[in-house]
Amino acid sequence: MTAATRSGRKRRQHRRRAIYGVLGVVILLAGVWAAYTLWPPAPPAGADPAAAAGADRDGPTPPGAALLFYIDEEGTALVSRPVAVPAAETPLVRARHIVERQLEPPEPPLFSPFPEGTALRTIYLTPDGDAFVDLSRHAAEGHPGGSLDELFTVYALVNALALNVDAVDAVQILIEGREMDTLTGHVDLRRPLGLNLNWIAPEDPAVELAARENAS
Amino acid sequence: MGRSFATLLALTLAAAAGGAPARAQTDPDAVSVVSPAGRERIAVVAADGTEMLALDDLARVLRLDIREDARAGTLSAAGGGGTLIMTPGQQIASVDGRLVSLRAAPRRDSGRWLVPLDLLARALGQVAGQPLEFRAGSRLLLVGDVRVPRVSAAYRAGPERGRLSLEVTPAAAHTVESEGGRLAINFDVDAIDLAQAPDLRGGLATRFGLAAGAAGVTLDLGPEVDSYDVSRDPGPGDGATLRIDLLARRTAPAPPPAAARDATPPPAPPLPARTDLLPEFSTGPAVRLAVIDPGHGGDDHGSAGATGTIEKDITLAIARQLRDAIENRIGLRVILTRERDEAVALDTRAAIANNNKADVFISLHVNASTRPAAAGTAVYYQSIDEYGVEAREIADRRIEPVPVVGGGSREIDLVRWEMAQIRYVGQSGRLAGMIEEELGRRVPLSPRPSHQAPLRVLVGANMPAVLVELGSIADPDAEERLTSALFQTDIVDALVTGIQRYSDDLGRARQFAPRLAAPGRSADAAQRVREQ
Repeated sequence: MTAATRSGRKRRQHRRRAIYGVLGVVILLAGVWAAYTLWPPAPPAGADPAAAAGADRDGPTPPGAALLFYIDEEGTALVSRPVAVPAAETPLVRARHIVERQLEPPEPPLFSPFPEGTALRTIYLTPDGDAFVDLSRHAAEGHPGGSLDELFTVYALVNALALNVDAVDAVQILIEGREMDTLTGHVDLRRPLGLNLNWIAPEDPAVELAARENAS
Repeated sequence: MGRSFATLLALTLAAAAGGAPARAQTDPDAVSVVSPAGRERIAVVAADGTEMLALDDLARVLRLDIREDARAGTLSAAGGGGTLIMTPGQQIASVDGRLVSLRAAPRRDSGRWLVPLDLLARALGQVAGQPLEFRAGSRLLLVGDVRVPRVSAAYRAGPERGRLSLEVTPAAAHTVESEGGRLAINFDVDAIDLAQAPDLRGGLATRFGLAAGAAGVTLDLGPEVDSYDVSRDPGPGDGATLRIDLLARRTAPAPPPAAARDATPPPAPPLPARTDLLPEFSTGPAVRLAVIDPGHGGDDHGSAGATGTIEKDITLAIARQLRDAIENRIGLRVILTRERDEAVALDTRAAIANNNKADVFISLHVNASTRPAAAGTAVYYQSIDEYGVEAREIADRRIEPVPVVGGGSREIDLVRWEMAQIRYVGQSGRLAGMIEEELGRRVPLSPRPSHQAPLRVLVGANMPAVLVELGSIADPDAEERLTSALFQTDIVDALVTGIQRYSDDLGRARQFAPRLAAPGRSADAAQRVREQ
C-alpha cells in the first residue's frame, strides 16, 4: 500500500465522519423542533413527560372514596362530599378519575361549581407535585362570573386534587391547552395554586382531614 | 245622577280600552338628545315604575322607519344599521336576529307606542347605523359624531379666595369671558355633560349654571370678588382640569386711634401675585389620589342579571358617582381606569394606578351567585400564600433607606411588577376592614364579608388595593337593589367614608412615625408602630 493510497483513505474517513456529524446535528435539531412544535398539545413548562405517560410516584391506589367539593345550598361556601372513585394504577390516573368525578353535577341541594359542559381534556403531573389540568372552554365561557363563584370553581378543583392525590401539591388550570390569566377576570391562574380551606365551611370534614395530613 | 253615571261609564270604558294596569304619567326628567343638527328633548313617561319613551320621538331623531305588522303582532323599527323587532307584551326584542332583553315590554298609550328607556343602550345603537351613546346618569343621548365631554365641577371656599375646578374629559379648548359680574366658561364642543355641579356655600361666587347652548357653564361672582385667574393642568387621563381662582377685595384697615394719626403709617403688605395658586385648604391628607376601577367593560360584560342588567354597566355607573363624591366631599383627586364602555386589560388597570402614583386602588365588581344568602356585599384584598416563598420574603423584607442625590434618603426596594401588591397587603387589609365596616352600616353584607384571595387585578397594584363586590346581580332582589339610586348612593357613601377613615388613620400613623411614612411597606410599619 502506497503512502498516496493511505492518505486518500484517511481523507475519505474524515469526510465520512464529517457527514455523519452534520447528519447527527440535523437529526437532533429536527427532533428538538418537532418536540416544540408538533407535540399535541404542548405540555406546560416543567411537566414531566414520564409522569404524563403514567409514571408511578406513590403506587396504585385501591378503589374508595375521595372528598370532592361543591357549592352549598346557601351559596356561601364549598362543602365536601365523599364520592366513590375507581382504583388507579398511578397518581395520574387517580387524578384523572377525581377531576372527571368532580366535574359531574352533585345531588341537590348542592350546586356544581363548574359550568355545564365543562370537560377534562388532559392532565399532567410534574415531579415537583404540580398538576396541570386542561379543561374545555366551557369552564370559562359558560361561567356566570363574579369573584366568589370563580373562587369556588378554582378551589373546588385545586382542593379535590391537593387533598386526594398524594402526588399533587398544587394545581394550575389550563383552558383548551392554554395558560389563562383568569377564568372570568378575577382569580389569578398564572401559577399553580395550593390547597386553600378559606372557601370551605369551617365544620366540614375536609378541614379536619387537611389538618391531619398537615400534621403527619 | 245621569251625569255621574256617564262619568263612571266613561272611566270604565277608558280603563278597558287602555288595557294598562296603571296609566302613564309624564315625567319632567326628559332625555336630552345632542346631534350634529342641534339639541332637543324627548319626554320620558313613567309606566308601572319603568321609564318609557315614545317610539315616534326616537324615530324622528334617529331617522327610523316604524312599522306595525298586525298579522304577525310585531312592531319593527328599521334604521341604517339593521332592524329591531319587538312584540307588544314581551320583554324580548330582536336586533337582526340577536335577542335582547328589555326592562319592560312595548305598550301603546294614548295612541303612541312606548318603549323602555334601556332600549337606547341595548338595541338602538346597532339599528341606528350611526354612533349612539346614552349616558344614563346625565340622561344625554349622543347621536352621530358629536363631542360632549364630561365636566365635573367642584368649588373650594377659603377666607379670601375661592377656586372653581372643572375637570373636563376628554379635554377641550376653552374660553373665559367676564361680563356684568358673570364669568362665562365655554368649550369648543357640541355640548357638555355636566356630571356634578359645585356647592358654592360660603364662597365668593353666588350661582353656577349651564350656559345657553349647553356648551359651557356660567359663574356669577359676588360683589366682594376683585379679580380672577385661570389656569389649566393636563390630566387625569385624556382630560384636563381648568381652575378659576377668585380673589376677594382687600378690606380697608380700621382707622388708627387719634393719638397715632400723625405717626407714619406702616407700609401696606404687598398684594398676592395674581398668578399665585391657592394654598391647600387642608393640612395634606395621607391619601391624595384614588384610582377607581370599574370592573369589566367592552366585550367583557361580566356577570348578568335575569332582567338584563350587566355588571360592566353597574360598576361604571357607581364608579362615576364615587368619583364625584370623593372629589366633592373629601377633595381627593380621582382617576377612573375606564371612563366609558371599553375593554381595559387587567394589567393596564393596575398600571394606570401605578403610573399616576395613586394612594389607593379600588376595583368595583358584582357577584353572580343566584342564592340570596350570598347576595350581599364583600371586600377582597390580596393574599400572599399563592405566590410562594418569594412573595413571603418580599412581605417580610426590611428596607433600609439609602442616601439620594441632593440630600435626604429614600426607601428603595426592587419588586417584580406582578408582585407589587405583596408589600401592601397589611395596609390593604386595613382599608378593606374600614370599607367593610362602612358597608355593613348601610347595605346587606355577605356572610363572610372580607376575604383574602389571589386576585389578578390587585396583584400588580403598587399601593393599598381592594376589590369590592357590590352585591349579586344574579339574585333578582339584589339585581333590583343594584340598579336603585338609593342603594348606589349607600354604596358610594360607604366607600367615601371608608376611604376618608383610612386616609385619616394613615395620616395619624405617619405623625407618630414620620421616618417610616414613605409609601409602601413603610406605611404598614408606621401602622404597626402606632398600634404598639
